[in-house]
Order: sequence, then C-alpha cells, then structure tokens
Amino acid sequence: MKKKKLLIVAAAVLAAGAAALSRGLDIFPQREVPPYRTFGPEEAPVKVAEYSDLSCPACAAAWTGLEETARKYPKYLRVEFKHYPLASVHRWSFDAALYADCAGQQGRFKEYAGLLFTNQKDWSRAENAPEQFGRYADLAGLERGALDACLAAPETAEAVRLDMAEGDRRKIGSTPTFFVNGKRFVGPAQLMRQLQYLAITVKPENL
Amino acid sequence: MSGGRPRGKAWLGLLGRTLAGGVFAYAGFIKAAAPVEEFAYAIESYRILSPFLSLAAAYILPWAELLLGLLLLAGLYTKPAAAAAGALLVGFEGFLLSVIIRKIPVTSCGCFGAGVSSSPPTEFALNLLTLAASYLAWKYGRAFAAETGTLQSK
Repeated sequence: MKKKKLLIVAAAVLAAGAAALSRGLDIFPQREVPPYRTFGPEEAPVKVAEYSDLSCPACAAAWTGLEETARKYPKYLRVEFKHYPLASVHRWSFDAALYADCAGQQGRFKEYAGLLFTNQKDWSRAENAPEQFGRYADLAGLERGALDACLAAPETAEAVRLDMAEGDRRKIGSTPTFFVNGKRFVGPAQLMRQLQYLAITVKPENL
Repeated sequence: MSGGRPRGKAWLGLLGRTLAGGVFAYAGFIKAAAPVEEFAYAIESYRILSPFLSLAAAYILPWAELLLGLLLLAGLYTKPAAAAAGALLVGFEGFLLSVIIRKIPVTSCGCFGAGVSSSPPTEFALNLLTLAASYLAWKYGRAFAAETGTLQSK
C-alpha cells in the first residue's frame, strides 16, 4: 500500500518536473527579423516580438493596439513582427504572409499588413483570396512584376516556414503571442495591459 | 486480490474511474506543459473572471486536474477525488453554458490546451459524459483501487 502511494507521488513529481521543464525552456537563439518587419526605435525601452497570423481577428486587434501605442508614445516601443500562420485553421493565412513579406521587400509591409488586417473578413474565408491580395497590392502601390517574382521565389516561403519553426520551438499555441522584453503574453488584452503597466514605469523621456 | 469475482458494478466503477481519470490526467498534463498565459487567454475569452483571477486559475487548474486524474486512475482517495472532479465539471459546464447563452465567440474552450479546439456546445456534451464517468467512479470506483487492494467495490 505504501509502495503504491509512493509510486503515485513519484509519478506526480515526474509529471510536474517534465511539465515545468518543457514550458520553461526558451534557450534557442531567435531568428533575425527582416528590417521591413521591425518597427520603432532601436533604443526603445520596451521590445515586443509578436507571433501573428494575418487571418486571426485577435491579431488584427493587437495590430491596431500596437499602432495606437506607437503613435501615442513614439519612443517607447520596438516591435518585431514574426509570421505564425495557423494554416490548418485559416486557409489563406500562409499566402497572406507571403504577400505581406513581398510587399515588405518593396518597403510596404506595414501598409500591406494594415490592409490585410483591416479587410480580414473579406478575404479570410474567400474562395479565391489571392485575387483580393492582388487588389490590395495595387492599393498599396506595389510593382506587380516584382511582387510575382517574389511570390514565386522559394526563399519567400522558406522565411515564413522558419518563423513558424521558431514559433514551434517557443511553444506558440495561440496567436497572437507576444514576448514583451522576453516575457510571454497571449492575446491583445494581456499585451495591452502589460504595455499600459510598463508605460507607467518608464521614464517620461522614453515615451 | 481477495473477495472473490468482481461484480458488474465494480467493472462500471473501474470504467468510470479510468475514463474520468484519463480525461483529467490528460487535460491537466497538456495544459501544465503549455505556457500558462495561453490557458489564461482561453479563460479570459469566457469574460467571466478578471484577468488576475484568470491567470490564477490558469496556474492552479491544470495541476489540480492532473492530481485528480492520477488519483482516480490509481484508485487513491477515490471518493473525494471523484467528488472533486464532479464539482469541477459542474463548474466548467456553468462556464460553457454561460458563453453559449451569451453567444460569446469562444473558438477554443481551452479544455485540452490550445492545440485542440472544440466548440463550447461540443465540449458541454463531452463534459456530461465525463460527469457520468465521475459519478460511476464516486459510486462504485473502489474496486481494483490501490486504496482497497481488492476486487470488491466495498
């Protein structure tokens, strides 16, 4: 009887240890984010790495929240945008990431991602979203020849896949997930609470 | 193994204990192994608990579920473990019912971590099954249990 109880306790301790280890490990180096997906001053006191899916409504809300915060406090935030399209749930999210990156190569990532987030409802469940992506490309003033070449280049998809692999290593399970100065937050509400909290603690000259 | 052949109710008890224990241990482990903020995000999406309480629940619940699951599977403190599991399930049903009634768009209930996304009505129905299993574990679950060391239910 005592032996059995000991076994249960040992199993519980092992499970606890395995769980603690698996969720605490974040020792892998992070990939460098291309400059067109990095926003805000390098010396900003608050650094946010965002793992986002262009088809996810919560990611659109977080995008708006980050833009508003950056407008309000121009020296406060530096954001690195990383792709984590949940393609099994959102049909066009991977393609959207490719288009956004190709827009980025023409220096229009922010504008294009903004268009995708704003019009998310129109394309995320569409039958032929790439048609709409083309229209947004025109709206963003992209050069179509260069865009098509970029979309066809294997490196473009590879870059998105590498972002996803990094997200997998960091145990991203939901989008958007943020690392604010290294600490994890999931969803726009958790992010905005933390940004508001940090804004209080940061010196006014850094806002 | 004393006490002769097990009766039908004893088998029912074992079934209930295994089902409820398995579900709780699995759900607990999956969530305990995942980042706590993710489960807190799922709890927040029900719009019932404050952010602070959501985070507190996200820290505590997975471990409570894991412990209850292991106790039920092993058959230790079977009655209280089954009662606690049942009480938790009733609470979960309350949360799920609340979002169904309020038509809050919860895409993933958070029950088995972020990897599994089942809708609240599906999860509500599945929880009823687990609740029935917990009842069987509470009523007849002491057969084959480590705490009794016997095939009999009493």
